[in-house]
Amino acid sequence: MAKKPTNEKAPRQVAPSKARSMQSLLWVFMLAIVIIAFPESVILLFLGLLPTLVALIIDKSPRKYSTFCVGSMNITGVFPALLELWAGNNNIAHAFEIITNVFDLIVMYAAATFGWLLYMAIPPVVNGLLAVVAQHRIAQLRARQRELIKEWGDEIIPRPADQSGGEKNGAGQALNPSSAPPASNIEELDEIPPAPS
Amino acid sequence: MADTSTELELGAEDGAEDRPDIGPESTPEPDSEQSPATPGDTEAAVDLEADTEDDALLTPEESENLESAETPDSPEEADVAVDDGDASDDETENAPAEDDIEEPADEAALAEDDVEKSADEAAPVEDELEETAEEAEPAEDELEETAEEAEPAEDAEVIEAEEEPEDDIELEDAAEVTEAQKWEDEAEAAPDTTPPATLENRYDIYPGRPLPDLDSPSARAFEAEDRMQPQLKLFALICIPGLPIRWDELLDIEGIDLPGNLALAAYGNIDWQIQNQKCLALIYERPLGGHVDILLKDPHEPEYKKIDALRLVAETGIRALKSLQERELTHRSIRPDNIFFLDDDHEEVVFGEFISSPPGFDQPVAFETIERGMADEGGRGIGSIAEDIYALGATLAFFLQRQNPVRGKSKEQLLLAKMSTNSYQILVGKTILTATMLEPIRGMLNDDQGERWGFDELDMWLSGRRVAPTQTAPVQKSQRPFRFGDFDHTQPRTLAYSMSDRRESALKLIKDGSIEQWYSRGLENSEMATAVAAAVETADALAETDPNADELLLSRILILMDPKAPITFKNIKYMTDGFGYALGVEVLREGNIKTYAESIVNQVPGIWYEISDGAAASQFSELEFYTRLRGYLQKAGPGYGIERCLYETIPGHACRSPLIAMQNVSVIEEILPTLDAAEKMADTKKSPVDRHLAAFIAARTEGSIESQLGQLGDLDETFQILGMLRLLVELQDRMNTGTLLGLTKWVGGLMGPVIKLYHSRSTRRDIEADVPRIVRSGDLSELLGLLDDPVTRKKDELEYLAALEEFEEAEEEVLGIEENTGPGSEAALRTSNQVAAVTSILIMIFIISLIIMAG
Repeated sequence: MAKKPTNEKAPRQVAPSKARSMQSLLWVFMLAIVIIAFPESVILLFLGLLPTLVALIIDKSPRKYSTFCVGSMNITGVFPALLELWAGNNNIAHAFEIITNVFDLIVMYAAATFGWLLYMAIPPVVNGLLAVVAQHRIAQLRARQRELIKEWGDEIIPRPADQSGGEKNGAGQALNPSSAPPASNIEELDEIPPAPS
Repeated sequence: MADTSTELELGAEDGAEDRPDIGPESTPEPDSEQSPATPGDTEAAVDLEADTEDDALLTPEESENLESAETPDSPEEADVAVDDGDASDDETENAPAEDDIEEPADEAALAEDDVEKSADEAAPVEDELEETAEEAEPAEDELEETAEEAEPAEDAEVIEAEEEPEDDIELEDAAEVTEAQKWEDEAEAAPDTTPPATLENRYDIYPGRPLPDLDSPSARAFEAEDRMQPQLKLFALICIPGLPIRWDELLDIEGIDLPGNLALAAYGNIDWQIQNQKCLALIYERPLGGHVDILLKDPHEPEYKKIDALRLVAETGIRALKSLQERELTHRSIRPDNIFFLDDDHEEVVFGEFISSPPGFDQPVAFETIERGMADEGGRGIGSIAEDIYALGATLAFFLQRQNPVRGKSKEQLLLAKMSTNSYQILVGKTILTATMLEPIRGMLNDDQGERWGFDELDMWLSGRRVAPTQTAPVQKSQRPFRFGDFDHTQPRTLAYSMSDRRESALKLIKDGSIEQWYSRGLENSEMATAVAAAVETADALAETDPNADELLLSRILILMDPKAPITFKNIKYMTDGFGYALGVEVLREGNIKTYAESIVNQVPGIWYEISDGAAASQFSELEFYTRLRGYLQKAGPGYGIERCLYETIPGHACRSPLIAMQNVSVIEEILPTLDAAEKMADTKKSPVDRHLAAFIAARTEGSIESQLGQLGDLDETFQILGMLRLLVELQDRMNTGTLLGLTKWVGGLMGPVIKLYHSRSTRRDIEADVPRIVRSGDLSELLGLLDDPVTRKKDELEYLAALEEFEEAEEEVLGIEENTGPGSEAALRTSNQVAAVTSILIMIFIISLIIMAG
């Protein structure tokens, strides 16, 4: 008997989209409140955090690591101007005054640039460090494998299923499990992983 | 039916006009004036007459002649009378006179005349037969050539025949000549100064002092001395290495006094320099009077002495056979050249040795019963005392005569003649010394074993009493002779024997229905005809699946036709109690061993037992024996196969392994010491246990060693070596052998693969370091304990498995690291970006915190 087509998935698909639309609406509502309540801070932050906005737009990675780097430094650069605004005349004119101050802008954008530099420089260094650690670990493992081979011989190297099975122990039992992973050539044990670029 | 009978029978019926081999001597006819017969003779005549009426084996003339024999007064008178008739100084001179009296005298022996004459007439046909036989049996070429050469001599003048040496009885078979001659040729090279070989530190045997008069066909005789009793006259027989000997009998008779038999003083292996190897030496007391047959053939000896000697042989022979029977032994080597005078005065007679060859092996066919004569030399079997009585009868028959009645006859001719008439008529000629012995000879030569004289009848004869005549069952004969192999056969038995030698032609006859037809029409035996047809039908059904179906069919039919005949398969024939010896001889000759194995695998003995009439109990045990042999043959590994059959069936057969063949080892206790000594000479890269040694050990060891043999036959060479070590250790333990330095060194050198059974290199090194120490101790069991310690092996296994797992885990981890830290790997990129982001955030928090705190 043929099953009747069901539409069980349809309500589930509708629910997230509704939630997202509601979430967006909430964000717009809150943003509107913030803009209405703190227009001078919003102006300052918008203009000061433009590099972060750019990084957010151009960063296609799912975790937005560049945005985090640029944004963190950009916020650090904007934070003194924001304190000055909140500590002085907290109005739109003062906000424009700060924005138009080249020194303040340079601080904001230079901080953002520093953040970008961090994003550019740290990963290769970390990569290198990871490679060194891994290489050391591999060397340790290979050394242990060489010790095992020295003690137990080449037959300890797992053979493919079609090549194993011939070996017996004293009681005539097969020693190498046929499910062993494909054999690695013993010469591979002396190979060192390539250094990271 | 003369026109349709066999040629042999034709000859017998044609009368006695043409007798080319009748000698000049006067026949000791049962005439009252010339040779008064003994009471026994009279009885013999009566018996013969009775038998003639029963089985029509004797002609009417013979019957009349026998009736004319008068009762003598005493054997002595008979002897003297014969002596008077024959006591001529020059037989050549007397020949014409004897020819004159020959015709009346020959009336007493018409039966013999007829047979001899028929044999002579059959000679051309037999020549053709010999040509056929030459193709089939090359081994008999020499014999047949001798026979062919002897044919003209028979046709020549009698005087010429008399001038020839009397030892024209063909006592050697072709194969025996080959072995013995080779042996002799090599032995002759020993100079007189060759130092003696010593047996048991007591008997010195001198290779340079041969005693050819005391040679056996399969053993050479040499002078021997007893260091403890130098006055004893001894001689040593050196046996042919590899030829099966009668080991059980050897053990039975050593050091005991068997009346009428040569006393065996000692035996054992000696270093025989002539052959440059160890040989079995048999130390016997030396008969000082020489061969009896030399005296009997000496024309200068008076006839009465010969007759006395003949009587002495008969009496001593009966006593000797009784002593053998008391020990359940058989002699199986009673023949004219194996009877000696023990003393110079010719007052004591003994049978010669019978140990040095298989039973009946050295016997000419004339001295074997029909059944055992059909078998191959090695396969004649141990037999019973009845065979010895027959041989004694045949020997007496030969001693009795001045001429050899079977001279020049091939084996087939002789056997066919025996079967067509009977042994007595064939072996007893007409030129006899005395008629007093005819009665016992006739009784002893009865071809029906059940009717053959036993000791009761012989005792009665010795005591001068009359023995009741025996009734011989009539032989089934066909009214329509069947011509095959240039013979017209009227009996299935003769036809079966001829067919067994011409197997291809025989098979055609069986398949085209000729045999079945002959049975139904000629012999009017529908039961046998049905059996033959059924056998053919069964064989046809099996022909596609069994390549030996035809041969098996032929074997079955031949056994059906003659159930008493030996087991026959392809070109071999052996009695049921002669398989082992036949195989042993064939192994020595490097001949057709495979056929012997095939006969067992195809259960031909089973067919024989199924058809032949035998005691049920013995059949069961013997069948079980052959079933066991079949089991051995069906296993291919060392310790089984034809080698196992060889040693299981021949007690005391020396091990034929090339490693120790020169040492002639016959007992299991000597195996390990011999291998130990052989280490210096052998190729130590090969295993010390080959197929022959494994089979020898398996056959001679009490209890089961199947597990060791199973490992010895493992496909893996390593386990073969381990099995070999276990087998040797088992042997060392059972035999309580002392230290075996050489063998332990040899075996230790082969243990490389066994050491490699351990996975751990350090364990291997430890074992390898220990091996030299154990080799120096010479203890195989310690070596096995080191190499095959269960605790060490278990530990090695567990640690190996753990190491295997660890290696795999390490390999997987390495692969994982290589995958995650490679250039452009996602994980590495993600991690580094995370680090960058976190670093930025931390810097932000730090600076903002500073600003706030400063502000």
